[in-house]
Amino acid sequence: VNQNSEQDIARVFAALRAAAPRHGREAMEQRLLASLKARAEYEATPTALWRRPIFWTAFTLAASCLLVLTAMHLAPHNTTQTIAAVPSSPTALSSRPDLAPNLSSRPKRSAVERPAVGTAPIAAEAALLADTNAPSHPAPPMPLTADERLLLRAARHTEQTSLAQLEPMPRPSARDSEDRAIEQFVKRNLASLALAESFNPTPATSAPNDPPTSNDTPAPNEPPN
Amino acid sequence: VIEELSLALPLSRVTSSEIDLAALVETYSALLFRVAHSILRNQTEAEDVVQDVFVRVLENRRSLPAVRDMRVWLIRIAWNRALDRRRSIRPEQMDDIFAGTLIGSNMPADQAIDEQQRMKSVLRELERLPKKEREVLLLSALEELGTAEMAAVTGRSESAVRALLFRARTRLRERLDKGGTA
Repeated sequence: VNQNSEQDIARVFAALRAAAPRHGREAMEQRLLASLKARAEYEATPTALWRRPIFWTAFTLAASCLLVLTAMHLAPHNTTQTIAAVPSSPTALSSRPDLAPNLSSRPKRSAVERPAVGTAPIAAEAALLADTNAPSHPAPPMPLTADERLLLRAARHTEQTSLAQLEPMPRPSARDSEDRAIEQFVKRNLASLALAESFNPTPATSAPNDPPTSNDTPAPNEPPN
Repeated sequence: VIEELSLALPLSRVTSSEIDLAALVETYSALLFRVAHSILRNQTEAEDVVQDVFVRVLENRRSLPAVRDMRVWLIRIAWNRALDRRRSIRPEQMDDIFAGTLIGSNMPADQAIDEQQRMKSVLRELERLPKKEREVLLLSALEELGTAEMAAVTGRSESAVRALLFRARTRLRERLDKGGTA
């Protein structure tokens, strides 16, 4: 058994040592050299700029620099806004007595937030204009009053006559037009009645439903004017 | 080594780097093929590994003069590439095909089947060996590398290589004897 296993092992190892390429050694070498030459020529030919890795590296670096420059350009504006929000100079504090007591209780700021020495006048001016430059928020809409509601209703649903009650200018013209309409009605409908009455005059008796005239005595319940 | 190989091709019209590469292919392609084939047991895969090795050489051709031992360096690249490629294939299938090539064609059918089973059992037990032992045993099976070169390829000391080789041979023989090569 031992001899057989030794022989089998030796046979397998001999086969591993004698392994050869499919189409022979020279064919493999020719194929290898051809592929390597093609690869070398491909690497030697100039490729488009955007296909080179260095192009994208340079593009990324340029974009990063542009972003940094933009951030540095915008940085002074942000510093001014921070100073305007929290004044630090004595002048600003004297003009803002409401902020002076909070100086001791205010947390200590870092060196990054501390403004430069030359910017103190600018800070004072900015503190004085802080209220002016503060963002304004519009007040919420108030509920309408009774008059406003009436006006809104009249403006939406009323006719010319109702509108004349609210505005003084068209009020006389509206009254004149009403008077003219009454006169026309009287002339047109009561002309025949007046003619008949001229031929047959009736005694002047007052109807029980007629309103009292101005000569009548006032009612005992009515208070004197 | 590179300069010697360059001088061996005096009539070539190509550049020096291409002369070196052609000489390297001619000198080492067969050895690299056998190294890769000992792990993969597949001709196509082994040829691909050899091509990968020389592509790597082409990519690093400017640093080739700094390589002290070109032979060990190339074998080590082929060895690692073959181990990487072995993870994507099934060695059992490769061993079936490889064991079939070891059997003679003019052998009776029953005897051929028995021979094939024995070859497959050897390959199976070889794969069951511990990784370190298996690698050293496969490198020594090529009979082209000394102990120092095997140590350089596997990244171990020479004494460790010798110990691993002894244990691998003993373990493989014992397992085959215990299995009765059936």
